[in-house]
Amino acid sequence: MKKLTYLLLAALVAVSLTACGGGQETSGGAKVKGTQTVAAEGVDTTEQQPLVVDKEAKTVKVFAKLNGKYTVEPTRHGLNFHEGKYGGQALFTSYANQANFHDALMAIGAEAGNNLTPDTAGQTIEGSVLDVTISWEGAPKEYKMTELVLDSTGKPIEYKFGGNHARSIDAFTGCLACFDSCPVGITSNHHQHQGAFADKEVEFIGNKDVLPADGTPVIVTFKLL
Amino acid sequence: MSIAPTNRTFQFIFGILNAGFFSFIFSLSLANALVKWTWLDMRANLGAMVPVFVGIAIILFLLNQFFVLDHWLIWEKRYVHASILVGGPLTLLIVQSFQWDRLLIVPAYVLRQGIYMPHLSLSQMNSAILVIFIVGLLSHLFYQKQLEEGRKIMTKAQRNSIFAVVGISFVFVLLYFVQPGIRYFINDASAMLAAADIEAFRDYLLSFGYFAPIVSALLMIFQAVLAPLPAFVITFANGMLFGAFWGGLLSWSSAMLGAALCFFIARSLGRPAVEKLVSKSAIEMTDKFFQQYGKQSILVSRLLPFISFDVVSYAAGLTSMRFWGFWIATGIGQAPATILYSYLGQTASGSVKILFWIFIVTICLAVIISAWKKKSSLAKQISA
Repeated sequence: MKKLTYLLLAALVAVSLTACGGGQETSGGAKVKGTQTVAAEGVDTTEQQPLVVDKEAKTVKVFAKLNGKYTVEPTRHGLNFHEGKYGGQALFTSYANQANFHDALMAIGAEAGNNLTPDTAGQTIEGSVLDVTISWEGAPKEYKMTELVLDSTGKPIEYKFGGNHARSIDAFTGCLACFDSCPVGITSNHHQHQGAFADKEVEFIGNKDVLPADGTPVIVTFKLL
Repeated sequence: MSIAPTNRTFQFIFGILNAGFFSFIFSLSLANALVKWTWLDMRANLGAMVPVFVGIAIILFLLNQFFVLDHWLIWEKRYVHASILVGGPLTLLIVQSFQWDRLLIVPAYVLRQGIYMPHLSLSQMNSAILVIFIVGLLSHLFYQKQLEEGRKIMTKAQRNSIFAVVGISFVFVLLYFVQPGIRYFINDASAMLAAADIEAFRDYLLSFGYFAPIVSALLMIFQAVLAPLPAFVITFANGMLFGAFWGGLLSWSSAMLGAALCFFIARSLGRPAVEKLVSKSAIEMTDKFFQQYGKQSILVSRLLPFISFDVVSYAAGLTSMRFWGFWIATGIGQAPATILYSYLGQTASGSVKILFWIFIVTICLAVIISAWKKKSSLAKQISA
């Protein structure tokens, strides 16, 4: 009886010590979700190194792949991290984490607008203006985003650095670039107000006459103007 | 057209392929039709309906083989499979506006996203759809329904409860795979529970505002039914957030719901299987034991923290013990631990873990010593 009691006590103490020792990191600030893809400098943009920053040229390059579905169906997502909730719902699937992309834009000196919240429907995004271009192997030239996406209202697509750092981490939709002003996406199109797509005021479809085949790797370049 | 069965195994394989084929055609065309609803397409991975529907059809086929639930295999009815064969491809053609390029892109993309294989090309996916269609059609032609005779011991109540369990599981699995928000919510909460990160879990619950108690209760039920996760993290966090009394009451009542659900699942799916597999005399013997000692066994097992709460609930559902006896014993047995964890959660001092383990050791020792004493007195009685 005594032996059994001692044995059981020893086992319980051992288990409790193990459990007490296994401390967990605390979430003091916003904890970045998904694989980290910290920006590198002076290297090629590839699937393995999907985020490259050039502080001198003030550019951030993102490796992505074309999603053919949205050359025939409408979407409001331009460029989304593939691990995010809506990674499969964007015209371009990014291999860079949206949180790291935010940091990369800050590193080139872009200023975040941070003017939208979920309750600001009807307003447009503010922040530094970004020139967004896309290139791929065999492309005749480097295209502007507005040449590759058909906006049903005919307005051009022009991106601003919205910021939304904490909200983008919390929601983890994975949005790097949205087609209408967005309180979650890191960058979004300031020519369409928040809620324009949801309210069916506008549709965005990839221009299949210009875009390459589904799955083609592309480099999306964000240049600070 | 069908041929006479020459081999039971082949019939079984053809049956599975047939179930998979019709659920595949149906769910793929349904997912493609739903893509046209842009609001939903922006929020859901509609392609995930395909593996979920195929999975559930195969599970239904297997359940049918075991429990003889013939009328559930709806795709085996002539008018249903004819409708799917004609209606499925027609739906695809209509929703893609009879445009060849759309037909080559959207169904393949939807399926690729649904099975989480982004590295495959659309032409590979289209080839796979073609192969599935041909193999499925051939399987359908060669399949002839053949049911196991077996012991038809299923009552209507048993059939209904199996139907309820399968139906609810289907909805849950569908939501999990189709809606990324739900999937991430469950995965995040599970990771926090698995890591026993009480403070992080409390903050996570707080982020749901007024819905925090509902989320907490749902997670308690989820961990009881599906995942071997530590429930005490939820109880601690409830104590921290809502105080010892209300937090304790929330933890206790949601754990009671979880236990009832585990019991019901085991009674619905497991008990008929046990009755079919085990001999009548063995069932009678074990049933007699549980009728006599079931409540006491449950009470003691609830007091011992190293015995899995969920396994006990499932095991009890397999026996013949009455639900109310099980539930009352569970309620009484889990009360001491719930009260203490909730109180510790409310005080949330640095010594929480030490007090927690002191409590566990004390309870274990108390139960073991009382069991030992009872055994010794029995032995004395026998020897006398």
